[in-house]
Amino acid sequence: MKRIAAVALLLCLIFTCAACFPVDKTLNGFSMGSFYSIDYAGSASFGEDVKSLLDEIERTYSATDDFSVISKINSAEDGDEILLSEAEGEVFSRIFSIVDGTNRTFDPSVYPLVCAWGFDPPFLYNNKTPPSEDAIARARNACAIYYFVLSEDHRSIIKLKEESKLDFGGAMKGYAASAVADLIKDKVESALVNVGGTVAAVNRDYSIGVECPRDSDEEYAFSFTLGSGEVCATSGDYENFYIYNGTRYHHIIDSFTGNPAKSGVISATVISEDGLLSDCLATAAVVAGVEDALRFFKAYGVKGALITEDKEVYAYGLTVNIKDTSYVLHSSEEDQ
Amino acid sequence: MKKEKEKRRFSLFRIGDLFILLIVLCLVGAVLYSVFAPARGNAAEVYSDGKLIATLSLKKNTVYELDHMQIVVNGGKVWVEHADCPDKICEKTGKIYKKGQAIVCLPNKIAIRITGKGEVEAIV
Repeated sequence: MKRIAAVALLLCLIFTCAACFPVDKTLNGFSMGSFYSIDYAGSASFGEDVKSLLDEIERTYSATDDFSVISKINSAEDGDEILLSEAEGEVFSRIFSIVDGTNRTFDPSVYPLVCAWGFDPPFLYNNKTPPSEDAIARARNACAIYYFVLSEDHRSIIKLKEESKLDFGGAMKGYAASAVADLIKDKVESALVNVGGTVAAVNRDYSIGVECPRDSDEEYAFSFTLGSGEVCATSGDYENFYIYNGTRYHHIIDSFTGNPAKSGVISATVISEDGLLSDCLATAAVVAGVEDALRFFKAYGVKGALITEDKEVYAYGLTVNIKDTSYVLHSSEEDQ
Repeated sequence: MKKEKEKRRFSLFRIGDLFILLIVLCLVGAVLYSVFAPARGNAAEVYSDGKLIATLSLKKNTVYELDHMQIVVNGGKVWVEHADCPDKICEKTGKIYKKGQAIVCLPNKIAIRITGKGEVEAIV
């Protein structure tokens, strides 16, 4: 009897011991047009839940899914009214308010121009040529957020111009990273959620490196600490681009000029507790340039870091450790 | 009387000893495992015909396209998603992530090897 008790006690101890050494696990998958991964410590299983959550977001907001609410809007005619669910209405109103708050430097109605430049998903690198001036001018005519009128209760949207199209791709990875983080935060000890490069830290701080926007021997340009509960999004001209006759054409289109953004900012990282906001502001910063970007960061109370063409790094409210010393930290950071 | 006393002492000693011994063994085992288990690598080197053509950070999720092969890095692991070789051994090798592991495609003369050390937990 004593022996049995001893063995039982021992087994308990062994299992306690094993739990003291939590093994880090990784969950991989593909959704929303890109790979996602979750590095986590913990024993719960949530792979199916994460997959169905991401697929649901894709089915609702993807511009390439024929049955999404975005596709319904994009294929609608002049004056059509499209009904929105409560959740959709909230996403639309948040995005439209960020479009206003960033002086339309973040603008999901730029989609016709994105298509004209050949950056609509799935983007493939082979043999891209820039569009003609004519094609740009034509597409630009359709690009304006005021061709989409959101009702006051956010439950419907009226489209004013048939050729106008929306794409929430610049916002939904952040939205998805936040949604996944919310879903798993009570099930894991800690986790790093990565949806197509937008990452969310869950239940502990993580050290994050930001990729060098140009060729480099270093693994990353600088690093910073992403606090528990924060979501970090990075946009840059180095992600989807093609080179034609020696000129680089990248995927972040400035709706004012109709051309790929040329603001001097080639990489923008934004950190906040709201993934959707981080994602939108990162895109806005690349279009807006240093001065306006820092103003947006301040207005929205987010942290961020910009890399300019001249290889200067501007940090706002964030401590960055430069790794690639060809990048220089700009000194007068917070007096903007 | 004497014998009984010895017997009791012996059995007492045995239970206690077994107990501590096993706990110690279990701890030593765990420590040894954590020290000697193959460490996660931080980068995948891609060689073509023996020449290093790319170093992919395992902390940066990416899809790397070669003429005859698509290599995917995701969640700290690297694997061959598609290859147009006849034997598909490289695809069947699966996902690798530990230092020293390798994927080799003989028909295309491509080798992928895990190496490296790094300081951050993810690269975006």
